[in-house]
Amino acid sequence: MISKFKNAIGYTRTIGRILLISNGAIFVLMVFAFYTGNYASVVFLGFSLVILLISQWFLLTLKSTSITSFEDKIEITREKLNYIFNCIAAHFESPNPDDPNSLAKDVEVFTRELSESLTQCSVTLTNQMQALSIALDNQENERLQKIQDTLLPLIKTLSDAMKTYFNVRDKIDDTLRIQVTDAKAMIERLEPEVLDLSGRLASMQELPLFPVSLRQLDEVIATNLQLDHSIYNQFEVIEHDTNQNAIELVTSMQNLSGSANRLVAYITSTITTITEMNDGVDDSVQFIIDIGHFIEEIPNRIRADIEQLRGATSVIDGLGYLVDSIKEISFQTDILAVNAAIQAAHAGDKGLGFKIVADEVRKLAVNSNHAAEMIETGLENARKTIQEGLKFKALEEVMVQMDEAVHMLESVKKLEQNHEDMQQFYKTLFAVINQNNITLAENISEILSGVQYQDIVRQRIERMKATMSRRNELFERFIDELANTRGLLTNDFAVQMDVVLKDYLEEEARHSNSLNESTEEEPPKFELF
Amino acid sequence: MAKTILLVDDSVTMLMSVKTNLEMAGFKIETAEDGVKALAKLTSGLKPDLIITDINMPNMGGIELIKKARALPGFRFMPILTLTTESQQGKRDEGKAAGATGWLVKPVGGADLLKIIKQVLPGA
Repeated sequence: MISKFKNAIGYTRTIGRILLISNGAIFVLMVFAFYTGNYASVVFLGFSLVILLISQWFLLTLKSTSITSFEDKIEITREKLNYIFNCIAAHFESPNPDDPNSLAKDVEVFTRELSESLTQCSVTLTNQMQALSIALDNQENERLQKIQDTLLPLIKTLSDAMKTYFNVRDKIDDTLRIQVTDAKAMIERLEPEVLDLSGRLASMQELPLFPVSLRQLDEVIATNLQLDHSIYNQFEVIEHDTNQNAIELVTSMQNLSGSANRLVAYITSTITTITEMNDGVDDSVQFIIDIGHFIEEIPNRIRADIEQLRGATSVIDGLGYLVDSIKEISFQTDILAVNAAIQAAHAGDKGLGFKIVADEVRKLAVNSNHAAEMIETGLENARKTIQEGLKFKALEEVMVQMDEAVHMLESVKKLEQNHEDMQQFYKTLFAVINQNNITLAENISEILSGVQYQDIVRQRIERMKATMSRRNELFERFIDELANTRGLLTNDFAVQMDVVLKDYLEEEARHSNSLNESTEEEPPKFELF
Repeated sequence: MAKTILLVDDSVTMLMSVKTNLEMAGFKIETAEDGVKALAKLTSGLKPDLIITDINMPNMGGIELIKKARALPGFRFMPILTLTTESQQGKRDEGKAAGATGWLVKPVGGADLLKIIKQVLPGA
C-alpha cells in the first residue's frame, strides 16, 4: 500500500499537465457562458478554474518539496506501522506480565501518531494551498494555464490516492482488529498460566521478582535463618538443661531410695534389738513379779516372826528364872565350897586333897555366877531388842511398807502391760513403715520412669532440628536460584517444601506421642512376639 | 543369685533411670551406650540373662545389634526386649524379624517393666 502512495505521488507531473489542459477548457467554457449570459455557470467555472489553479500550484510545489515531505510522512507512518507490528509480535513472543493491555496501548499510540501524521499532511497541504492561493495572484497566465490543464487530473488522482489511503487505513484497522482479537484470545489462553504465576508469586509472600524485592527476600530469609539459629541454640540449651535435670533427678531418686532402704534396715535392726530386749524385759518382769510375790508373803512372815519373837521373849523370861536359879546355885555352891575348905583345913594334911577340890568347886561357883550374869545381860539385851521390835509404831511402818510393796507389784504388772502394748505398737509401726517404704519404692520407680520423657523430648527436638536444617537449605537454594534465574525457577520449591513437611509428619507419626496414644490405630505399647 | 540385664541406650538419663529402677528390684545391671559397645561386651564374655536395647542409636542401632547378637553362640534364645520411641507396626515387624522377643514403647512405668521382665525371665 505504501508503494501505491509512492506511485500516486509519482503521477503528479502527468496530473499537472492534465490540470493545465483542464484549466484552458474551463476558461473557454467560462467565456462561452459569459457571452451566453449564464453567469451562474461563469461563477461555477471560475471557481473550478481557481481550484484547478490551486491544485496546479500544489502539484508543482509537491514536485519540489511537499511531495518529499509527504513522502517522508508516509515513510514515517510506514515505520510506525512496522513498529507497531513488531510490538504486537514482541508482545505475543514475550507478553509483558506487568501490563496485559500493552497491545491496546501500542495500537492507541500508533493510531494517535498516524492521526498526527495525517494531520501534519493536512496542515502541509493547507499551507501549500495557501501558498498556492498567494501565488495565484502573481502567477503568469501561461503557468496558470498549465496548472489548469493539470489540476483536474490531479484532483482525481488525489482523490484516488485518498481513497487508497482510506482503504489502506481500513485494512490496517481490520488487521489490527484481527490482531487484537487474536491477542485477546491468546491472553485468555494465557490467563490461567498468568493466574498460576500470580498464585506462585502470592505464595512467595507476593514479592515481585525484581532486584529490590529479591534483596528484600534475601534479607528476610537471612534474618529467618538467624532466627532459626537462635531457636536451634535454645533447643540445645533445653536439651542440655533437661538432660542435666533428669540426671540430678535420678541421682536424687537414687539417694532417696538409699535413704529409704537404710531407714528400713535401721528399723529392722531396731525391731530385732527390741525383740531381744523384750525377752530380757520379760525375764526381768517375771523376776520382779516373783519378788512381788515374795514381798507379799513378807507381812505374814513378819507376823509369824513377831509371834515367834514374842514366844522368844517368854523363853527369855523363862531363861531369866533359870539364870537366877543358876546364880542361886552358884552362891550356894560357893558357900559350900568355903565351908568345905574350912573343914579341910581342920582335917590337916588329910584334908589337903579335899581342900583342892573345895577350891575348884568354889572357882566353878564363881565362874557359874559370872556366866549366869553374862547370860542375864544377854537375855536382857535380847528382851530389850525384841521389845523395841514389837512396839506398835514399828509394826505399823512395816505394814505400810508392805502395802507399798503390794502397790509396786501392781505397778510392775502395769509396766508389763505397757511393755506388751509398746511391743505391739512397734510391730504396727514397723508394718506401716514397711508398707510406706514399698509405696515409696513404687513411687520412686514411677518417677524414674517419668524421666524417660526427657529422652522422648530430646529425640523430638533432634527431629525438629533436622527438619529445620532441611528447610533452611531449601530456602538458601530457593533464593540463589531466584536470583540467578531472575524469577524463572527451574525447580518446584513448593513441591520440595511439601516433601520436607511430609517427611517430618511421617517421622513424627512413627514415634510415640502422648496425643495419639488413645487412637485405635496405634499399636499396643507393650508387645511380646 | 541376682539376674543380670544388659541395658543399651544412647541416652544417659534413660540408662540411669532404668538402671536404678531395675537395681531397686534386685537385678544386676550392665550398661552400654550403643550397639557397638554392647556387642563388644557380649563378645568379651558378658552373658546377661536379658538384653534391653534402644532402636535408634549412633554407630550401631538396636535392630543390627539384635541380628548380630543372635548370630553369637549362646545368644540364640536369650530374651531381647526393645525399649524405643518407635511405635509403628512396620518397625516392630523389622525388630521381630531381627529376633527381638518383645517391643516396648517409651515411656514404660517401673511396674509395667518389671511385669514384662518377669514374663520373659521366669523366676526373676
